[in-house]
Amino acid sequence: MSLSGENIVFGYDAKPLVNAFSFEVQSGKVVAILGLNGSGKTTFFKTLMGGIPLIDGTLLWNGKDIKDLSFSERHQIFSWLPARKVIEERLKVFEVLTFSAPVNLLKQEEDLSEMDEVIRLMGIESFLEKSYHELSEGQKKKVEIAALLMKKSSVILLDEPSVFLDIANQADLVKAIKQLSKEKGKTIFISSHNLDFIRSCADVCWEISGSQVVVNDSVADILMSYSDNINRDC
Amino acid sequence: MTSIKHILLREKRRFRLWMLLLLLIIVLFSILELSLGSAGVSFVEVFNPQDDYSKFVLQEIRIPRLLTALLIGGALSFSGLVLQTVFRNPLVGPSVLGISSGASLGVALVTMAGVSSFSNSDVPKVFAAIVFSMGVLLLLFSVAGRFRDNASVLIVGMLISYLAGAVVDILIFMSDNDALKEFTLWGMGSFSRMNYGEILVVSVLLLIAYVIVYRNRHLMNLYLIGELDEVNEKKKRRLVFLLIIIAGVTTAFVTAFCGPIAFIGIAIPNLMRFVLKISDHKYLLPGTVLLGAAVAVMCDLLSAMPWSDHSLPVNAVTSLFGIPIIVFMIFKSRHKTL
Repeated sequence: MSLSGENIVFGYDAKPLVNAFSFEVQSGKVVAILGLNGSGKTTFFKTLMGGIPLIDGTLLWNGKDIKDLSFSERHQIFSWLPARKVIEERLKVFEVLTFSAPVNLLKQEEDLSEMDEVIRLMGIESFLEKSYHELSEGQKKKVEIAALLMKKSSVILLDEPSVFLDIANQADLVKAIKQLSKEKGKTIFISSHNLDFIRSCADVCWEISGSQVVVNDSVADILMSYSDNINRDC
Repeated sequence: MTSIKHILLREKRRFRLWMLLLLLIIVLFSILELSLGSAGVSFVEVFNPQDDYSKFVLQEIRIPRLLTALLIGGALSFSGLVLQTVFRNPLVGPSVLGISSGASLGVALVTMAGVSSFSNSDVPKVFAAIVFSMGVLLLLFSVAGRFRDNASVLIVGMLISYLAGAVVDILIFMSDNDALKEFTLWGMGSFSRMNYGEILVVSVLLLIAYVIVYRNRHLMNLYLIGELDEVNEKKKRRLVFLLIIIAGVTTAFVTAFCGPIAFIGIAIPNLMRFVLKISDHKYLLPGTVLLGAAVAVMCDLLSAMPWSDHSLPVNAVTSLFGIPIIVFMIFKSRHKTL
């Protein structure tokens, strides 16, 4: 399975943030997207989810144009965790998880066991029955990621997933991302300003700069040049 | 480790237990409602009326009153739950959007203009209440369409409510004693104003509203976890629009027939969340309707004061019941939030 783009142009109100970008990402890969605030990282995620129309070019999932997919088909393939999510504070953690899962999944024994597996993977079993407002910001982030995984999508889009996580939780998240990509074959896109986190889990890096995207398989190289660019600009 | 399956099974068991309990309570209260009252029809006669008088009291007074209480309690609680979900605020109720105030304005205009004196029926009042509350709903949407956030809709609704209240105050100031008494009695709320035909109409309306909302229960759950934000903005706005229309129309019809009934719509959804300890609409929707029906009959029983020759306004009893519940739940909650 693969996701590819042919000369895609995306942005808001027909004003492009990124011009004529082509790519192909195979399943099981972790792609980190770097760029300054407002460069188009989140806009790319929203474009994939169908929240913003593609200005030009074609996005293909397994060779099929994603604009031909129905809303629900698209949301079965892609799932997105925004940097900030408004979740009703009184909900129990298990409700946040079960509300996220497609309704038909909750009826099957096997799928319920898979949900337990995700809960273990994210290390949230000890606060399943707590209310969401009782959790720390880091715990909330882990629950949000677990809720995202309940959807069983093939492509996972994570916007600043390491925010609020301490070092230990960041390490757990890196482990989970590697397990999901390498063992489950998920394609994972991560937008983050946390360079150490990206170094630990990304296979490929994209840097959005001045409406162009630079793709580099050598994560260390691109992180070095990105860091140099930022220091020079400052 | 507690598994998801274990938790879901436990929640389902708790829900079924509560539903069974509520059904028993409703049956018990219904028998009491039918057998108690100043007309002197006994408990035994409820099941086997001996004469025409008993039959008349049961068929023309007590049964319609019981059905009205069940229906209105369920409808207001349902409407309150829907609005609390839409505005993500447990202190929102059917009265906040200005719909009840619109109905009050309609009834005030009819009673003060003396239309009701030409007719002994409640039809002009009911008609005016429905027309004005639907007018408020349309006005709300014409204004709210310009705002992206639900809080603005809420504020506009409250402002419309104040505006309608101001016009009603002017009408009260200018009215004579008879009109004022008629309007005041309507405002106290009553479950004794609906006939079988009207009960049937409102029942069908509530059933349609309930089925539409219940079919959207999964979307309502997704709405609570922010899944419809950003990328599903259109779907979210469609859902919010649909839910407000349904809650608005339900409230409009209920208020038109029974007057503004206080606090049932706010207190019952909170009480149901409190006893079920969950927010899943699959359970909350049926639970809230049943609990609302049970509480409305209980309040009506208390307002009738069967031990005395007098009776209280239903509104006074529902307020006395509803306000302590909300205060209790605020204090009971560990974080002092609902």
